Amino acid sequence: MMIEQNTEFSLSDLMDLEKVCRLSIPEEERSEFVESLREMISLASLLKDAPTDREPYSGNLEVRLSDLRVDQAESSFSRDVLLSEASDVTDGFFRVPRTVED
Amino acid sequence: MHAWINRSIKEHQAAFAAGEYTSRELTSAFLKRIEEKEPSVGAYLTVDAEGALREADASDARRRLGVPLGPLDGIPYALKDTFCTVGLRTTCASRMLEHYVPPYDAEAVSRLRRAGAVLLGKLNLDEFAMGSSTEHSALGNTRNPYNSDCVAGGSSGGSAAAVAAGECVFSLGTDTGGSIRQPAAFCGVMGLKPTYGAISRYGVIALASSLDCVGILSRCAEDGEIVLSVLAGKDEKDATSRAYLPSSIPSRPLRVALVADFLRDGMIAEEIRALLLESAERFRKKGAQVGEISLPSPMRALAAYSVLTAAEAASELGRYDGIRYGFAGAGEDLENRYVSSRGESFGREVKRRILFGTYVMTGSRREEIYNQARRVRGDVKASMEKILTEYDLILAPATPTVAFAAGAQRSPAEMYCSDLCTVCGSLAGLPSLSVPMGKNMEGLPMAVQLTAAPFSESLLYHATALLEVSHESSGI
Repeated sequence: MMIEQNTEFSLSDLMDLEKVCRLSIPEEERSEFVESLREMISLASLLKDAPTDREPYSGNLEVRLSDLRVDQAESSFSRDVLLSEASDVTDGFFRVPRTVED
Repeated sequence: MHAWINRSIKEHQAAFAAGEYTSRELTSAFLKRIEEKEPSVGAYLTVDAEGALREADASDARRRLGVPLGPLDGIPYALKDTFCTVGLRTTCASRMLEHYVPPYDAEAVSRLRRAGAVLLGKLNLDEFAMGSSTEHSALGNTRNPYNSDCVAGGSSGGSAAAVAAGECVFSLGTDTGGSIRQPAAFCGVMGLKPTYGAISRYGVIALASSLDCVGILSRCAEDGEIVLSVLAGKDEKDATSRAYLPSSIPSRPLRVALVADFLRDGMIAEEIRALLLESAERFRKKGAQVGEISLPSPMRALAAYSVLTAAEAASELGRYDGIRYGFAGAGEDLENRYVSSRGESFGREVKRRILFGTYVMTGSRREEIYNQARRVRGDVKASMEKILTEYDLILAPATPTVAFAAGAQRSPAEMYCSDLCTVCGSLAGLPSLSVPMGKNMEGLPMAVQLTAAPFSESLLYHATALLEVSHESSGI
């Protein structure tokens, strides 16, 4: 099946998406990313004409009340274990760069 | 190499019981085999020789005491490196998790430990299970054991290659849209994607939770069924898991639906088309009734799949922030820390899917693209279920071609097309089995795919006998 190539997705769109996704694409790779994302958007455009009016499917992730565990506290990992893979820890807490301005 | 290394699980158990060899001897033979094969195959990211021999010794001790744990006690296996393993690094083939050592086991791993299986190590994949060649791994490429100029498939390429090359008895992989079935087909082994929810996903690093399934790669149907019997069932730590109530195998002649869409010119390679027709003939000769059916636009299903996996992946991978675990980049403020951590450690394909997934979920596109993909998914599921009210099995190719050349430049859309034959079963949550059916003129494996109603895995494995697939026809 031939897929019509999307050409509307631009470099500026890519840079906006990077911000939303907390990602950085190296400058020299950006044109390749624009090209490949255009291709993926074109593939998605096949959905437009699908003859369907059903409700969006979400079956697999619908969880019944009976599927849930009993709401009861259980022993879990120790604080030390959970902090052991962190990049920076201080006094038993995750340490992150300052988030509040002086 | 010992001739017995490629025996089935039952044959190994019989050998243990007869004192022909011990689990330590079998495990040592596999470790030696791994050493021999890895330079050309590259299936393993981590080999845990010490841990494996310790588990093998424990198994031998149980056997000496007359209290073996069951059919997998002492049997060496390996895991796709998406399964969390306590104390053993779990990388997802990403720089982000290259040094991550989980504090807990995935539920599937816990069940195998309780069954006495011996973990040899962790297997390569496309980074975060995104890809179909295992060339998108940040930690090295896996090659096809039949021809090292070709890919092993993906994303569970290491899992398929290791079984094919005789580097473990069986392996576990994950399948979101074909990530077990496609590499199994490329490497000539049996690859099961069970019913969605049949095996717990707890502790398995997610790609797309509404589609991800834990599955089994084995050399024969019998091995696959044994492993499934240990893994399947409700797990209270995964609310989407289900009690496993296997369907019975019909006593009447089977009704097989041949997917005619793939017989059209240009849809799949001619040699795969011929194999599909031959498989239908083999079913007929064994008394099955074979009819032709049509699926609702496989290309549209592929589009829905690509949108849904990317959207879910963008959300799933939001958790990697460089703070709690994983790679931490530099950054004066929190925002820059996030950007540098993710930007410097995720590979191109992962970034591409996060960007695309975010694109389809933003603004009006959420309704126009993402929700439309969910509607198409509902259509595919309804169509497949309707077909399975009239037929017991759906027969289709497992892949459009045999394994393609390593290093070939393929666009993202071309890469997605590798999943053309497998996505419908994934979207519908149905069990599907990739069945190795011999090799082409160049000696590369070819396969067909069988799909059935939920919890009909036994039927899938049973049907391989009608296709005349034997233990000896799998792997090298």
